[in-house]
Amino acid sequence: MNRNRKKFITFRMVALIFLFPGFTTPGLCDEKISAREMLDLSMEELMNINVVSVSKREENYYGAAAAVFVITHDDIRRSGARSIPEALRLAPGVEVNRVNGNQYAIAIRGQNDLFSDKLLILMDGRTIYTPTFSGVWWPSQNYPLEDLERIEVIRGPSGAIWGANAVNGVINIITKDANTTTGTFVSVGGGNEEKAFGTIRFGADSDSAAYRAYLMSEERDGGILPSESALPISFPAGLDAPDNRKLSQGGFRADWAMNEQTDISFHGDLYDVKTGAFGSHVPQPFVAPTAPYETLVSYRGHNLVLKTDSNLSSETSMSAQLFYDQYKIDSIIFGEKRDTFDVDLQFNFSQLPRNLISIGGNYRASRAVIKDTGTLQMADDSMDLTSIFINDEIELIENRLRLIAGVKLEKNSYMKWQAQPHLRTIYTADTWGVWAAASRAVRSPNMVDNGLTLNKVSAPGLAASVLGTGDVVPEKVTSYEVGLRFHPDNNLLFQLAAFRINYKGVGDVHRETPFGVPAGVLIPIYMQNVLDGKAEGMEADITYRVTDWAKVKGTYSLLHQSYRPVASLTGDAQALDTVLSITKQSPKNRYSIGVSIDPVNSIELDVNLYGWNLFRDDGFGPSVNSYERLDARIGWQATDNMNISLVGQNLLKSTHREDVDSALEFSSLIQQSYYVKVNYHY
Amino acid sequence: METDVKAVYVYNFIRFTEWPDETSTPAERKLLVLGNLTLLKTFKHDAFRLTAKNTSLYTHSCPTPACIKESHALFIDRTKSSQLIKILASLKNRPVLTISDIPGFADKGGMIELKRDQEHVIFRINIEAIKQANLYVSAQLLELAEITGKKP
Repeated sequence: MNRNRKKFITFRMVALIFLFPGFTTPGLCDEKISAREMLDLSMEELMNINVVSVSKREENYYGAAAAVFVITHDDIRRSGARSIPEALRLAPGVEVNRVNGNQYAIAIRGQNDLFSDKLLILMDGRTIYTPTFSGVWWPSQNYPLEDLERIEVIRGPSGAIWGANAVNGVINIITKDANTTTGTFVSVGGGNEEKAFGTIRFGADSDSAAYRAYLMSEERDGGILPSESALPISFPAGLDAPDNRKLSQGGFRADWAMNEQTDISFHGDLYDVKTGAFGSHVPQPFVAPTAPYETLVSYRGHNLVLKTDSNLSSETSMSAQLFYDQYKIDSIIFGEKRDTFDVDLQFNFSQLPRNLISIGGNYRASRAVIKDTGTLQMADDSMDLTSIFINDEIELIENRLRLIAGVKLEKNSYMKWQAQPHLRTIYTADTWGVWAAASRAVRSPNMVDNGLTLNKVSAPGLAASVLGTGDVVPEKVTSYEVGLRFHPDNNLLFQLAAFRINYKGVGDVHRETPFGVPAGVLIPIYMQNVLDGKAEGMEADITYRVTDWAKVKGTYSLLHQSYRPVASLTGDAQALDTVLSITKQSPKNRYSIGVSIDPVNSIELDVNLYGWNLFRDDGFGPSVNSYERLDARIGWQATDNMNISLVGQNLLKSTHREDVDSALEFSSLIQQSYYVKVNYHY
Repeated sequence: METDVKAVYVYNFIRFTEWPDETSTPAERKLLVLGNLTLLKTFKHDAFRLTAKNTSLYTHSCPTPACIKESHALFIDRTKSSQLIKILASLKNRPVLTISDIPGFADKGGMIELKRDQEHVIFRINIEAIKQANLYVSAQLLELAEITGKKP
C-alpha cells in the first residue's frame, strides 16, 4: 500500500492524486504487510495475497478528471525535437510558435505571444515562470532531452490544486530518477541549423541511492531576416539573421530511498546561454529617435531543489520541497537579476473511508534587481506569495464514480487573498470514462503591471510609453470542461475534451490622451484590464499501437474566441483594436499526425506532420500563414552501445514564419533543418 | 502493494533459478529493471536488501542493449511492451531470466509472466524458453506455475 501510494507523490504529482480515480482505501486483508515481511512467506502464501484494486491507479494513468496529455520520453526521442519547446508541439491544445531562433511564444487555449502569462510551468517541481511578467524565458529552459522522463500537460484552469498562474494549464517537465540514468552516456551531433551539440552524463548507484551529473553544450544558427522587415541593420533581408545561440549547462540529481517510508531527491542546474537578438530600442527617450539594435543577450542562472516524500503512516503521507533559483538577464532592452526562494508542504490523509483529503501550503519570496535602459525602466522590487489549499476526493461509487472538490486561497504583493475553487467528477468503467469540471482561476497582477516604463517610440520631445501603474486587478477566469476517454487496452487511447472559458478583465495595454512632461510630450499607454471575453473549443488525441512494430498518433485542437472591451471602454477604438489582435493571436485549428515504424529490430522510422491555420491576420503587421510542418527521423541501433539518428525538420518548405515581431525582439523566418546525432552509452 | 508482491516474486524467481556459469558458491546476480521505478526502488530499500541478504543481488536500471545482455535477470514493465519483441530478439539463447507483467509475455517467448487472477498475483512459465537459455528453474517453482512451452 505504502509503496503504491508513494509513486504518486513525487514532484507535486501529489496534485494529480485529486484528479485521478481508482484511489481506493486499502483492502480488507493484507493491507499492513510490507515487502520485507512478504520475503518470509512461501511461494504458496505469496500467491494468496490479496492485492486489491489499488494498482488500478498505476495502470490507469489517464484516469484524471481533467484534460491530461503525457508526452513520453520515447515520444520526445522519436520526434527529433532538440529542445523542450519543440517537444511541446506533440501535445494537443498547446500552441508553440517559434518567434525566431531563440524565442518561443507558448500558450494553451489562446492568448499567445512572447509574453504569454497564463501557464504554470514546472521543472521537477520548481516553477519556471517568472513573477516579472508571469511568462517564461524559454531560451534559458533546457535539459538533456535523453534524461527527461516525461512532460505532463494539463489543459484548463488548475489553480485550485497547482496554484499560482495555472490559469489555462500546467506543463510539468519531469526528469528521470537518477536510479534510471546510471552509466556513462555521451551524445554528440550537428547539422545545418543545429550547428553542434553534445551531452555527457555520468551516473552511478549504490544500493539505496543514485546520482547523475551532466554537462551539455549547444550551438544553434539563427533564422532568416524576413523581406518585409524594414529594419535598417547590418544584414540584408533573405540572409541569416543574428538570432543564433550558444548554450552551456551542467547539473546533477541525486535520489535516495532513505527507508521504506521516505524518498529524498536533491538536484540543481547551472547555465549560461548567449543569444543573438535584433529589434528596435530607444537609446534615450524624448531625445534620440527609436533605433534598430543588434546584440547578444545573456541568460545565466542556477537553481537547487530539495524534495522529500514520506509516508508518515499507512494513512498519511507528506511531501515537502524547498527550492532556490537565481537568474540574470542582460540585454540592450533590459537587465534583471532575480532570486526566488520557495517552500512547499503538502499532506494527504486517507483515514476517512472513501475520502482522500489533502492540505497544503506554499510560500515564495522573490526579489528582482533591474538594470534600467533607455527602453525600459522599472524599480527593483520584492514580492512574496502565500497560498493554502484543501482538496477532497470522494468515492461515491466504488471504482466508478468520484467527486473532487477543492479550493486554493492565494495572495501576493500585488493582490489580496483570492479564492480559486474547483469541482470535478469522473465516471470510469473498465475501458472508458467521462468527466466534467468547473473551475475558477486568477491571473494575478505581476511586477510589470506594477511599475513598468517601456518606451516604445521616441523622437526629440516625444515618447510613447507603456506604463504599469498598478491599475491591473486580478483577471478572473471561469472554465467549464467535459471530457471523454476510451482506453480499451494498452494499444489504444482516445481522448476528447471540450471547454468553455469566460475571461473577466484580460490585461493588456490602452493608449490614452498625451500630456506634457518636462522633457516633452508623453503618449501614455497604460497596462490595465482591457477586455472581457470567452473561448470555446475542443481537443482530441489518439494513440494507437497497430502492431508491435507500428504506432500512429494524432492530435487536433479547435479554438474559437471572442472578446469585447470592458464596460468602461465600450466602443473605444483602441480597445477594439486589442480585441482584434488578441482574437487573432491563435489559429482556429491545429493538428498533428505521427507514424512510428520499426521495419527491422535495429531500425526506427518516424514521420511527424504538424499543421495550423492562418493567424495573426489582424492587419497590424505580417500574418502567420497556414503551415504544414513535416519532420522525419531514421534511427539505427548500430551496436549494443551506439545509436545513430538522422533527423530532418520542416521538410516541405525552406523557410516559414511562426510569429510576429515583439517589443523585446523581432521575428525571423524559421529554416529547414537537418542533423545527425550519435548516442553512446556504456 | 501489488508492486511489493511483484518484487518478492521476482526475488524468489531469482532464488529458485540456477545460471549455467555458476559453481556451488552463489555469485552476484544482476537484476535489471526496465520501466518500473517503484519496483526498482523496492529492491533498493535497505529493509528489503537486508532481509534478502542470502542472495547477492544487485539491482539497477540501464535500458541499453549492452546492459540488457549482461544481466542475469531482466524485469520488463508492461509500459515497455512496445519494445518487447526487440528485447527478446536481442537475448536469443542468452542465459538471462526474463520476467514481465506484460499480458501474454510467456506465450510471446518470455520466460516468467506475472499475471493477475482476480485479486491474486500468479505466474506463468515458458519452460521451453528457459531450457533454450540454459537456465535451470527449480521444480518447486514449476509446480506452482502455469506452464506453457512456446519456443522463443
